[in-house]
Amino acid sequence: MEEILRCEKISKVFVVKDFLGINKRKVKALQDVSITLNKRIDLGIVGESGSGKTTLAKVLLLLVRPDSGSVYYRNTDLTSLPDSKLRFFRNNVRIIFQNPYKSLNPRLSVEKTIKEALFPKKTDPGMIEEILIQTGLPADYKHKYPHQMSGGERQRVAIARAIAGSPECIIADEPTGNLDATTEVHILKLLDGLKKTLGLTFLFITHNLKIVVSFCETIVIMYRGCIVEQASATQILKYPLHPYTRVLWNQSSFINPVEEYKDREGCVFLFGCPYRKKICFNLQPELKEKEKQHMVSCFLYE
Amino acid sequence: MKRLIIKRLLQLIPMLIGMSFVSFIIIQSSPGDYFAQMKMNPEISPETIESMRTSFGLDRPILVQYFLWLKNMCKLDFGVSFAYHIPVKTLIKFRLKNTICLAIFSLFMSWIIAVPLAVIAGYKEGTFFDKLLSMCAYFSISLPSFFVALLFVYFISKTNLLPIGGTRSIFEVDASTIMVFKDYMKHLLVPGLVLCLVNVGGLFRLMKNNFIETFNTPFILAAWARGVSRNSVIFKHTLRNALNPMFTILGMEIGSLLNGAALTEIICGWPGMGSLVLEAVLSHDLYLVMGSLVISGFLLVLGNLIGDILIAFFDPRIRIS
Repeated sequence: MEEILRCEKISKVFVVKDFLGINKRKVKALQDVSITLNKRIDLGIVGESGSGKTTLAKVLLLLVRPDSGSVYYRNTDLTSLPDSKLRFFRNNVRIIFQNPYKSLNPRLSVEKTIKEALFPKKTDPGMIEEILIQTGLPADYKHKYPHQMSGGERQRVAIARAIAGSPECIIADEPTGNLDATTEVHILKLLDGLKKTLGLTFLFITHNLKIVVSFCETIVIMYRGCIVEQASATQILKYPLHPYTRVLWNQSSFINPVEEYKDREGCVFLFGCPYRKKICFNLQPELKEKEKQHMVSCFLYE
Repeated sequence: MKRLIIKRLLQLIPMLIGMSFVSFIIIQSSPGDYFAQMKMNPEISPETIESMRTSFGLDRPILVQYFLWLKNMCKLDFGVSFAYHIPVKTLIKFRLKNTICLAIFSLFMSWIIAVPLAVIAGYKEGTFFDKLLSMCAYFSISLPSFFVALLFVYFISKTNLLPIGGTRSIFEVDASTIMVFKDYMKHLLVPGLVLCLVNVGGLFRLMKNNFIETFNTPFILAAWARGVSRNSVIFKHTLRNALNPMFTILGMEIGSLLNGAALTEIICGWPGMGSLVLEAVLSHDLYLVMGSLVISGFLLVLGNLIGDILIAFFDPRIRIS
């Protein structure tokens, strides 16, 4: 397996201030998160809002610097490099953001948006049109501005921008999160098609486990900044181990307990877990391999 | 764009008529007029005052007076000033040139200072430099223009660095145009810098907030994620989008500077429109007030039109809707 991107023991804490800036509290966005993205093996990250998925995507791109841990791109440690030396990496690993209404510069036409993302900058005539057609947009859309397009069309432009520099990997941060059900299907089909035709590797972030199971080979389940389970899509589909993963499969019947983000001891899923034991109140279980390539962080399996 | 300009200029007509009508009625309904002050002078007979009122058309009903004034105004005849005894048009022409020069100078200076500093402070938000600049901006906002003008005048008079009062010094007859221009600019510096100093704080705060707001939008994050250079992120992506609300402010500023600089003009002895309007209102110089109001209204709309054109020019969302 050819490794593209890897992060090791990533932790990130955000300090949140109140209105007057007097009271501060710490929010652990990521706690000792380690993942590896291998070539042509798509990785899905699933979790509810606030589980640290987007922070992880930003840390992987070094848009947010981690407090501890390292990010490696093809075995080169990126965390020690300044932003000015990350250009080559950022061209090879692109991101598609959740909100197509806000992720495009309103003042740039589609042509300029894609042109800016090309690498190297010099373009062959007709290249932009070709990219647009690849993403299912008519070639004459290059003259349009974001406000002249629908949400689905904007997201296609964002995808066109992501593939413009011929990257090897794309981080898709809930790319269908702001779209209706029909457009969501079209966008997922488009991403699947691009994956095959361009040989892309995806790191797919979503809150919908059902989508990611059909799209990715490996799945990571996150809860409150921690990885609670990591396995192949088939294993997650057939034998989900962690109580939270089971909850994700049956989301409609689960109401997540409202809990303050405070620095407390114990398992992150303590208050939502129907199987909690005494030890769960005191310690966060380690991520351990229960079965072959099936990792889980739960005392039920220790 | 053409449609926008024509639409705005057409909107100007009912606005000017409405504004002038209300102003005319209010001024004429208020007790006393310019000639009432003359009655205090025992050397002027009541018959003379009455004949002057008749010659200026003030003996007719208010509505008739207004429509006569409106009719003349359509021919660009604003009447004759009671106090100066010269046509209002001539008086305004001279003063307007000075006011426009002052407005352009102070606007240019305040923008050229506020925008770059706001960009730096916004980019380095929370640093010592940002806090220092923000503190200076608070000073600028909290200082009233007349106070700054007084300080400037005091300082200049003590140091004799620049001329104060009027628009030109006494020259020989054959003084070259460049010399006259240089002298005009020297006279302009004091009131111009006072207005700049008063405006720059507010502009800085607005621009900095716009910059920070735009800088934290997802499309800027997307630009960083693509490896776009820092300069491109700051100038091409952030600044261009952050300037939008500033153009609206610019339009409003043009209008307000033309009228709102009266105190500075008076203290610095700059013969502009602001001081002229104030004097005219105090002395009930009806036609001068009306003439100045029409010009100010026109310039206010013109300022907003310039702001709208700039927004439309720079923002495709307005240009291509």
